[in-house]
Amino acid sequence: MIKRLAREAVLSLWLVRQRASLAVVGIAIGIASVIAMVTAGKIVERETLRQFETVGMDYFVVTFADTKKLGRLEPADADAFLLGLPSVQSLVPYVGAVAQVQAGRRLAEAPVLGVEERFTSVNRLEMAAGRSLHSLDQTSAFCVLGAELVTTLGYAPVEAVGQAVRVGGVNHTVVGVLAPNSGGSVTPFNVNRAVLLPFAKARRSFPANPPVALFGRVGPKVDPRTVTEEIATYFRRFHRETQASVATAEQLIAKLEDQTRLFTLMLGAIAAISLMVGGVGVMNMMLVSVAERRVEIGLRRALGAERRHVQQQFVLEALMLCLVGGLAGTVMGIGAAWGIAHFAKWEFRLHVPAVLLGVGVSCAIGIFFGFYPAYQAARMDIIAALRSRR
Amino acid sequence: MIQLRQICKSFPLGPLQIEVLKAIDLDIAAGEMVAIRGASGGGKSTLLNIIGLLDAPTSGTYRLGGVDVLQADDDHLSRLRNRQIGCVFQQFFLLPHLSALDNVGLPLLYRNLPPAAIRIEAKKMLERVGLGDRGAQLPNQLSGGQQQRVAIARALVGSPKLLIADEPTGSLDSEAAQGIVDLLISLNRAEHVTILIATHDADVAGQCRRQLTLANGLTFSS
Repeated sequence: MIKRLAREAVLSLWLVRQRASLAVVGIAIGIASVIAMVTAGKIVERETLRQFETVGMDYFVVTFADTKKLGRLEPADADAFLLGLPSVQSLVPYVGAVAQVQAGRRLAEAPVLGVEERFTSVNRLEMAAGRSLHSLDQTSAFCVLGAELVTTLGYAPVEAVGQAVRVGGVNHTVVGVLAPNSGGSVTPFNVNRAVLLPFAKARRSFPANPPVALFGRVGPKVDPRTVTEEIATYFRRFHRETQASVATAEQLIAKLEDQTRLFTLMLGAIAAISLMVGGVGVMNMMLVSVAERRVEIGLRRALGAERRHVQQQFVLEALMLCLVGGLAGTVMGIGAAWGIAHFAKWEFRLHVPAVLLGVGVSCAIGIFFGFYPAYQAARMDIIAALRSRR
Repeated sequence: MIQLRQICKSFPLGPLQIEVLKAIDLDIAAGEMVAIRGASGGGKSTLLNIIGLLDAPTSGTYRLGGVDVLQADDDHLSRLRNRQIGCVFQQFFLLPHLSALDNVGLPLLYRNLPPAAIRIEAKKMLERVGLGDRGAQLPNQLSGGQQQRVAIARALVGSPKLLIADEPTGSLDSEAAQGIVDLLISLNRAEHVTILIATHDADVAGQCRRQLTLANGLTFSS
């Protein structure tokens, strides 16, 4: 029975294949956008989590509400904090500024980070060439370039080492180049575009810019929440002039996850609208189909079809349209998500719930938007239907 | 088998009610072959539609095989149409995208029979109407007479007790028409199917054992 019904549905749809394929395209686009958007959202979510893997789960950042009032914050101070903060393993301050970096005729606007020796290890940065900054560099005019910045300035990493670049109008010798770092969105700066100067040198060159933040790592087997509390308490006691806020990796992840979830939801909602449009297309096609096949409906009823038989027949046709559209859309959607991941250089992974959702939603759309036309067909007056001109 | 009492049917036409059937009383016994004659627009089709359970009268009672069918709900009527009544129309009403065999099998589809059984029954019935070798053909590959034979086979595939034919020869030339009448007469004799034919063709009506005339909304035996 089901097989026969399905065969008849296919036959009937084949008779109006041009119109039916347009309806299928509508559904396919809807499903494809849902799957592509949700999958892309999931890929982005996984990508941000991957950045945390690079940075490490024990990472945290301390920022200040008003850094100007903080006064001097030297690497030595950071060491002093450590004494009062038993659960913190390491803590590094940095000076932030923005300056023009110039190599020959090439020019770039880049964040300047005044950092000390531990900065590279605490942030898990790796060198592509040369050496990292050393505490003995003091106020020497040395610098380390980020991976993207070096390309902007037109150097290969290795040939950049030993070159002189102008940072804020002053010549600095490049002592090292950083390897590309994927922890970009976790840290408050993008290290790939930055130029790193020795802490003391940066303090001297940019006296107006006090240290803006501290990076640290939580000691082994310490709850990051303890750190948050410890640091808040510490600054309340010894630095009343400004408020410190601590962001641990966990909190950052939670915040980012919230954002990406919202992002995925928004994309999904937009895609759902296009799916809705596809559903309306199916309904329109089915309404036309019911109007065109009044004679057939009347005949079937005259031969003994119950209302539910007619209803089933038309819902089945709508369902088939949507299923075909759903399958085509799923393939298209996965393809599109793969394309997005490919061009954004993200790791592509199939999000199975999205696919199931796509197929399930297309079935639901078929039943929902097929129901009303089928209801109309089932309620038709037999005599009037038989008398209507084809 | 069929018992109509005081059957009335009126249609609204603007502010007026047009009475097409006025108090029809009619009894038809099982196995009869009855022709209903009358001018076009005289209510032949309306009467047949009511007897065929395709339409409901405005008032009156109708018993089919002892069942008061006017009290039945839509699903019950559908089942009665499916099992007790076969319909043949002037325009054949074959589904153009189905083969002759599938067209014939259509009523059995609504009895939830397995496809193989439907095929066997449909094939048998096509052979009975003399089209055993045409099962695979589509309706538009058949002549008018052949199409009407397919339609008769479809009407009788479920072995109903009653066959209702509304102007079955209306779209056929006289030769094909005679073939259809011969087929109906032989079905009535051999299978004892009760047959009710509406026709304005005196020649066709003359071959039925009982003839009724419908005029001014009333039936007269002739």
